[in-house]
Amino acid sequence: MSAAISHHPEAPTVEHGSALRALARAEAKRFARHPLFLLGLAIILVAMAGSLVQQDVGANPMFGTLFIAFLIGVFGFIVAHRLTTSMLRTRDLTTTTPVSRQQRTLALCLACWVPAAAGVVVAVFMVVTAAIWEPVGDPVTAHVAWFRDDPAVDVLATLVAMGPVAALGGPLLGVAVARWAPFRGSALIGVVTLVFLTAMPSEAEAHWRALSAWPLLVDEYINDGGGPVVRSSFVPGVEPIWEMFFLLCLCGLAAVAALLRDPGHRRELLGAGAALTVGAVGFFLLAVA
Amino acid sequence: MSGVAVAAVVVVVVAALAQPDAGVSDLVVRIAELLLAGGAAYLLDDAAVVLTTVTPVGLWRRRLPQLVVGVAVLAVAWIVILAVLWRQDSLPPWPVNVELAVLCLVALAAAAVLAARDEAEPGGLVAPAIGLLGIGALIADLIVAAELFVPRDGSGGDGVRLAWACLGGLALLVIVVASRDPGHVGPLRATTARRRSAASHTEGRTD
Repeated sequence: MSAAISHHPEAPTVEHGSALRALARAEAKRFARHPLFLLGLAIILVAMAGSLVQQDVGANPMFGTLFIAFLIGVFGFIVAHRLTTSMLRTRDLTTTTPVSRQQRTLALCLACWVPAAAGVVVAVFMVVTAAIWEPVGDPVTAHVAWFRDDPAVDVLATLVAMGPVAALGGPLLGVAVARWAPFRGSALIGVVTLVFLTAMPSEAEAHWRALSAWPLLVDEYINDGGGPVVRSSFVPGVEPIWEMFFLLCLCGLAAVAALLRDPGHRRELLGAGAALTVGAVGFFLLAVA
Repeated sequence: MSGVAVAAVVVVVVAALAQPDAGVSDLVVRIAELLLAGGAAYLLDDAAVVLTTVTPVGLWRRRLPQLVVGVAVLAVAWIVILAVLWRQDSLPPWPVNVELAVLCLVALAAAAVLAARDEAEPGGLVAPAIGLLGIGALIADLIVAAELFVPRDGSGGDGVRLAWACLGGLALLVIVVASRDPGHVGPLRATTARRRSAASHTEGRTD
């Protein structure tokens, strides 16, 4: 009787760039077709249609970023988490493919540009509608956090930071959480913690609010008797442009954290992580200086 | 599931320690409620459902041990949270307990529906959905100022309480309907089944 020992064959290697591109495209398609992502988009579309019918932007034109952050960013967290854990649920299949797990994680991170792009589209819609129906306060001369009363750089940086960057950061964090904590319940704990940590009360000091992953950079005011918002203004003591770069560094750190779960390219990733950490600290200090 | 329960307790304890004099805010308590309700969604998970369904043991009999232990864990976590809130003088009114029970029932109902559709581990889908739904309701509560949750000060809110009670009843109904055991034959069905069996037996003889 003879016994043949067959070693588990190493996965064949393929060209990194093309495989990664193909994988990122596939993951992007999966992201775009995920029912939860589509549900978030559908709700946003209803809200956009409502604003078109209403033909009024109100005194806080940044209000729409809440929809982007929650319906694309937070929903995207769950979508990215599900897509990432699906890689673990089908471990038998994924280990036979000629790409490493780190490449798959990178592809998932690249696929997070789908929600970011959706966030950009909604932000552009906000700019266009506000250009058609100019946001005004009550009275008309009241300050409104938009192009008429504030520098364009501040307005655009705030719009990007609270909109598309949030739509990018949530899913990236979802990938990182799923890679490091793939246990049942981590999606629920992650999403609730994310909202809990970002929900800074409006009474909080400016630097605490700037530290949040979704900083409220605009204050809105209502009359004493309640009712609609009558004016809005940027939070004093926070520079929106630096805050935006700070948040982008946090997004980068989430991606690096996700990739660090696997042993490959450890030195490069640690270097990138260190640079992003220094960048985040620097931009934060500039933002609250 | 126990991880979620621990997370709920940790959230409340951290909030209590962070601001010992201010008390725990309603937002934190509701987040803990959402975590516990999300945890309830895992109580019907059965990774080995393909094997356990072919056993002669009924569906509820199979679920019972996991349900009892899970409910006990959730109850202990909630009692700990209430104890922390009591120490902080921010104990919510009793309808909040009903609110949590209804949220758990809704989570169980959604999980039962998915389980009936051959999803072995519905908790992984339902728990985040409960979290998102709850957070969405909290945001809507803040923006629209519509009372979706039971008022914490105990004043008014009869309509909200009634709505929560109706939701709980509906969730219970869904759980019962979605958890009908296809292999179980009740007393009424048993009589019919016996008649049918007897009839087919007689037909077989005459043939």
